Amino acid sequence: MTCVGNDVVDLDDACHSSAHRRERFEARVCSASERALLDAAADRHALVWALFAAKEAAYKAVCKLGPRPVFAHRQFIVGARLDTIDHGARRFHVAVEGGAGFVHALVWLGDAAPSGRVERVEPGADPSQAARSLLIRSAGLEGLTVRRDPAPGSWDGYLPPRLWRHGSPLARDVSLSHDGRFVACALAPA
Amino acid sequence: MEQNAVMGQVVEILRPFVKNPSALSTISLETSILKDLHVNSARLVDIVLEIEDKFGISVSDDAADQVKTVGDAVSLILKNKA
Repeated sequence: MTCVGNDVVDLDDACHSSAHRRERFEARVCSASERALLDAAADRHALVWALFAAKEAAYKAVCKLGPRPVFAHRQFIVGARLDTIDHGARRFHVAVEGGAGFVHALVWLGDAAPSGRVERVEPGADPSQAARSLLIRSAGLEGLTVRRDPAPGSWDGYLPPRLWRHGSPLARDVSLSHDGRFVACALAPA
Repeated sequence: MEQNAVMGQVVEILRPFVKNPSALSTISLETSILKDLHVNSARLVDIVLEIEDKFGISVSDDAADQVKTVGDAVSLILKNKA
């Protein structure tokens, strides 16, 4: 089964308070090779958040493969073409999509690329529910629900989301994310 | 340093990054930074940097990874300042 992760960043929400803070943020999050990419980038702001989203997405995928590693962003190293990300001995595929005000990263382990979608969330809406709704609509099957079972010790206390249908989990890995005005999902191929 | 004093400073560090400001009125050592205060992971990195600046300490990736609650942040600071 293709293992997937995804992450969306609201570019208007993702701001640093000062140049000093931005430099330290990049130093904490990015590897030396990624910082070289940033130095050469035409749009540093967009690239740093593309790298960040790819690392967050890869972390979600790595956690599914167990055991949960320490989340050190620098140890997730994005390739120069933004199409791979390495963590230890594992190499994941990456696809980064930019849109109006957001960047979205899809990460997967396996041959077949997942599908991903990003959507604006209505002001005041619950972003977790909105992301689940987007995933269910993206899967296009009737009778779907999204479940996250409790898992003490995991990064947020729950197992990764799974799609269920008629009382059984589907054999398609999924991933959810939200940030600011956006929700997003990834769905492994059937 | 006293725990209450550190707690007060941690709350002030968190305040600009919190997406659920009403949760600050009932904040405690048990409050989850991610789940209760709705701080996202990018802001969590900024919070670690702010803690380093304000308390003059260095926070390793391993230590930062252990910070889930306000109490975890307070304990981290007290341990580094001891």
